[in-house]
Amino acid sequence: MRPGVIFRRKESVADRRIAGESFLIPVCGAPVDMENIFVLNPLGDFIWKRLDGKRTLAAIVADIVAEFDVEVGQADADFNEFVAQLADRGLVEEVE
Amino acid sequence: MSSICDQSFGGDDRRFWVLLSERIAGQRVPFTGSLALTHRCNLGCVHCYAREDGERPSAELPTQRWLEILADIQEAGCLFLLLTGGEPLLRGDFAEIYSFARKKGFLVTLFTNATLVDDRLLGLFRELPPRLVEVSLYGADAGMHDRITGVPGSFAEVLRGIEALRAAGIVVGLKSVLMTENIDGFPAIENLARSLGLRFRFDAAIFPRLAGDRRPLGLRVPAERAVALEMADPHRLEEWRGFYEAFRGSAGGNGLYDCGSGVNTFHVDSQGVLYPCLMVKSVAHPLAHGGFREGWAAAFNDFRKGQMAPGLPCRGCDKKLLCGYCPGFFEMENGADDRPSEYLCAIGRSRMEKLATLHLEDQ
Repeated sequence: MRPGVIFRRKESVADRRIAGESFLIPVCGAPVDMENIFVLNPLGDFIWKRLDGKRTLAAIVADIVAEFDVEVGQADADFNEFVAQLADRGLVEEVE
Repeated sequence: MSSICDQSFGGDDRRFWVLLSERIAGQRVPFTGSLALTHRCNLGCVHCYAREDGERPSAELPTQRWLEILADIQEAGCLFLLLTGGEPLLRGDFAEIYSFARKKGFLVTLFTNATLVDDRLLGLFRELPPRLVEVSLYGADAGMHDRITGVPGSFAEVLRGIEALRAAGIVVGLKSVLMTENIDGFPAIENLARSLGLRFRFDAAIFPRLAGDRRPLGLRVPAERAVALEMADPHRLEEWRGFYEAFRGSAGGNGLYDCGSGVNTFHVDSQGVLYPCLMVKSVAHPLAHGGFREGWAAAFNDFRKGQMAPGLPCRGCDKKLLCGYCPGFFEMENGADDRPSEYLCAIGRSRMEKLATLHLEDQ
């Protein structure tokens, strides 16, 4: 992905924090089954909160590096993998 | 770094529950709750414990209070939400309450008799799908079903509602209550569910009415017959066998309550009274006197500490895994959570005998 690409969370998904765990729950569209529910680990949760339609990929990767003590290349790969999964599921959209 | 997005669950509810249980183990989180939006119903089922014969329907919470309660329980960690009644679709504000709940990220199951399904509801469900709509069906034909509901034409309306929900792509399940009024036609009910391609479950549990009328107990099917019917289904039989094999010898300690009641579950009735679950009524906290968190934190602390009395026959009973042991059941039947139900004992004995017979056959 380009460093300047920006994603935002869709309103059709609710993020829930339950007992310290983060869940993504679809609200609209397909029938609600467990297929469409995600549990985020701390890094996923960290990224999800930053997909606000304002921050660029590069900015979020920099945040990851600062917070999780990883190399830029690894942070970039993790970001790309995660956002690709979310996009596949229709949970985020790219901002034009 | 491992995968960031731990998983989806491939449609596997059990995996999800296992994961959720592991992650919240030891925590008191109300992740499963039920709200009885109303006690009113447009049917008058002979066995219904909530029926209010000839009495003025009790006051129900207004819309705004339900929305406040939903916001409270969301914050407290509720994920699985059951909307029930009475018949919840009787509420003119059902769409508002339901939409609010879905947008808050609850996984909603609806219990309904499906007779009030209309285009407006279908449009709502298409936009904001529920996890499951579970419909009550008491007979495989109009004669039987309508005799039990007391409303002529209700069978046709239920089938119409089910078909409309299915056509809209909504996940529908059927549930029934086994009783003397329908036991002869019960295989036909199961066949009807199968022919519609719908999941089906039933229960033989019938309780006195909340107002005290014990006549519904006369509708109970003898435990031996109920279990014979239950075990006639090879799939259910295997489930029981697998369950018993997996958990025998681990029937728990001597705590009176060994379930999720008040630990991971709660119930709110139509007047806004908070209970530890759908069954237990003796521990109550009116939400009018404070928010959900206060009730959850304070009101349910003591009842879970109760121990089985030394003379309680359930203590150490080897059939406790099979009988459906539930102090809430005892309370609904006998008025006290430490007064066991003879009916559940008989159910446990019958299941044990059936499994023992199978064990001998295997050998």
